[in-house]
Amino acid sequence: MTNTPPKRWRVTRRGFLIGLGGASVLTLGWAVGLPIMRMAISEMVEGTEKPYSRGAPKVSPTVWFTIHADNKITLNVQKIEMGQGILTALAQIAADELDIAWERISVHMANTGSGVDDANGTGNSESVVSHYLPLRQAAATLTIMLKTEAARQLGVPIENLSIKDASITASDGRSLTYGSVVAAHRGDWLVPKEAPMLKLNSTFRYIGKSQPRVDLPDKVTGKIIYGHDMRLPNMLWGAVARPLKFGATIASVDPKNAASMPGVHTVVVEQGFVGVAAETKTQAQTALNAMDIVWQEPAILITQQAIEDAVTVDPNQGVVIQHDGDPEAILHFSSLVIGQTYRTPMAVHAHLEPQAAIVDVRDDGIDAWVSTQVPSGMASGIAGAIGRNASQVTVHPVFIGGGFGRRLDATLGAEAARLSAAAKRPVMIQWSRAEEFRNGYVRPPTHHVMQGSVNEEGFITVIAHHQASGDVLLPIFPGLVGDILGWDIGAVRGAKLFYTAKVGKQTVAQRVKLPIATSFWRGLGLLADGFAIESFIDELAKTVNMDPLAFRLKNLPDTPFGNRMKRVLQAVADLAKWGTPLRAGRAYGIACSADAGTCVAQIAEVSVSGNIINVHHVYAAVDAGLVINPDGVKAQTEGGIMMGVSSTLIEEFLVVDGGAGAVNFDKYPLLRNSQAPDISVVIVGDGDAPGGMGEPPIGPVAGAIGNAVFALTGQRLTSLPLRLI
Amino acid sequence: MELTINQKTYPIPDNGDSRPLLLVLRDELNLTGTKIGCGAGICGACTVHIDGVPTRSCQTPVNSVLGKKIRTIEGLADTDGTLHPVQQAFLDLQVPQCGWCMSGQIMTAAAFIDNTTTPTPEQIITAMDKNYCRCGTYYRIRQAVAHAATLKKEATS
Repeated sequence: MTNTPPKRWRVTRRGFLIGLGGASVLTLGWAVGLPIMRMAISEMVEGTEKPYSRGAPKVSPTVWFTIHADNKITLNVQKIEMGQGILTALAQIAADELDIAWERISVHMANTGSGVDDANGTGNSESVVSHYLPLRQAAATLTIMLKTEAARQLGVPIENLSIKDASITASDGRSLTYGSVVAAHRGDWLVPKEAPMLKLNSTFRYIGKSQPRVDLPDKVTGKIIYGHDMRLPNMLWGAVARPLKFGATIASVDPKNAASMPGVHTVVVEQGFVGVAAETKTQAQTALNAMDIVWQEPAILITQQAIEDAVTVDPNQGVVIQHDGDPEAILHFSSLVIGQTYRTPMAVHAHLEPQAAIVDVRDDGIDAWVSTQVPSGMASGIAGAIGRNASQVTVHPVFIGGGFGRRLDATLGAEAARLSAAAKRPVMIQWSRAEEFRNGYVRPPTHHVMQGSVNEEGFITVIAHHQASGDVLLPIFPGLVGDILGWDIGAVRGAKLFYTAKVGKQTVAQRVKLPIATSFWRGLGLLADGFAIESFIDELAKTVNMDPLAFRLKNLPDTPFGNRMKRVLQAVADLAKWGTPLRAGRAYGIACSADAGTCVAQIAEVSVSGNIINVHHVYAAVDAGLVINPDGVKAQTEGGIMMGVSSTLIEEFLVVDGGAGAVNFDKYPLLRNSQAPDISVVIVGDGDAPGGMGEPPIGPVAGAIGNAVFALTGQRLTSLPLRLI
Repeated sequence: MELTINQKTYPIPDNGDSRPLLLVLRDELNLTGTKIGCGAGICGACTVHIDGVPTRSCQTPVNSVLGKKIRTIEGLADTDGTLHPVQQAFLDLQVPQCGWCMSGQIMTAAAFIDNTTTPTPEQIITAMDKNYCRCGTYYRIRQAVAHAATLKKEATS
């Protein structure tokens, strides 16, 4: 992205926007012509698509849990561990409701044929949120079933039984373990239809306490098996032809002597697909390279400029997704109205484990070991690629070396399936780092126009956000009504304005279809929207010379949500001692955001050396409601902050010569340890329902850093990555 | 040809090439504890010890390490399973998230505290600066390396 100098706009009472300090004049209107009906539909759809209202599928406790004769208990879940600590959190929830000691429980990532189904996959910060109650209910139901069976086996009334640590004891002192009850049981289990009473929160032994992560012992010894580490006897290695330019397709193929080269087992040339399966990875790649593949490139190669031009707010485009009060009043408003534009670039996920899959296609079934966040979607993708039924595919989840939204599509598994179907042997595909850069999908670029005004008392009177973004959800889940409505639910995560506006507020989402694949990236639109909105809130505060913290506290609504946000703001201010003088050359910036039912506020401490921005410390306060694993919440906060700092200071994916501008980390560096801030986290939430944690902490980072840079230098930087002028 | 890895001898085919040690470890010997990240010597996920020196195995031709002592994450703990102080420290501070970079981080840190018994915060950052962690565990890594040095001193005193 070209680093255009920040522009300032001023709206006169006649409603024209005049560029200050530049020749360009941008006319911006309000999207008043857009029918409110579309917003109503969008709210309706968005409501149904809200990740936080979806429950986990109601399956039998006998599927959720396996009770072994030695009284060990396995929890079967179809959630994928990719570093977020989900296996540990779910084990905590189950262990409490089952009333068992921590040592007894282990967690198994169930395969797609196990009956444990979670078509939502692992993402959207929703795993704990969606599993918390259903898992407790399943565990409580199982406890009742065990107790009922124990009463039968012991020949005593159920009322005479008590439970402690996986043992059921009768009033006469006789005792059975869960394991022995199950071992002695004959016939089918009867699952009660009535939802059981759940335990009181005050009896929790594990929920709310920091439990050590169950996956870490094998992660410090190198024993844990990720997708890239899977090996099968008799397996082949695959290589697949991929374009160097965006939008290029295979025009013609001359396989030459590839099929007879050393180690080559099978060469597949199909419509739009060329691949090789060989005894080693090197042999497969060598044979692929020996083929003569002609690519049909787009008539006009995609350029960085064309993408930025496309992702530019057009006042006549977009869908109103939030409309409160009378935001059009801004056109007639007499007090100072300011406007600002913000831009964020494309970014890659840079998951350090390149994606990998082994697929074994046989007549009697298909088994796949794939690093995927969506096993059920992967099963469908594999089946579709080779004309089989998804019910014949068993996807075995594996540990993931970094997800961040990259492991949602089924391309990888489909490639391995095509080669395996032809070779009639299991085939492993591993993408190279260059392929990850060239041929994956990226975080969509965004452009934002913010406008607003503040009255003399320091209240926001009107505020509006018009966001243009490439797609997020629609490329992977086509057919959503968003395709008809013209807006993408994922792109607008964090786009709506939660501050109170005395007269009116409005958010407009403008979908931009790009000729380059954009989709999920940690937080979806959250980082970009947080950057634009929270930078602009500071600009509004500046118009009335108010302290950025005081301005936020003043303009948050007096609602349960607003009070939660005020509490995290106050908590982070206390943690960082906001308002006390910092050492020379340092400044604080503050920002907050809400996502997945979680409120986060952060303060960044920055300094500047030359044109380098240093982020020394990030303070964070988190209200994630009921917290399952406090150290897990802290870890996710730290991770989200670091990824956000990397995006704020460094990362930018560019199109060069119609293809990826970087194919490795030499030209697309990530945040390094020496650039990584210290982090302090305080958890302030309470309540009876957990919020999500995988993504929310990335929301405020860029805004907090940008606001700190402004406080220190007076430069309002409006594009990511931040670059001092 | 033979490699000496974690005090064991592994015969490997002599293909007359200089294929990277990383490829031999992962794809030929099934020692998958050592990870690949970038294949270009930038991210540090593939770090192993060659005669005690932390080395990027993706940039190390296999024929350059014949007769040398190679140590990987699989050989870092004692044979009785007692964790190396760095492994223990990374567990104590619950450092890993996805864990993919951790073999490289831990091998880098293990070599570092072998040579720097009382590291300063600045030395730790310098030593760990060339190992990427995309999950963002950098702050915990710094604390864990300091903790590991303490554990190591306690164990040897």
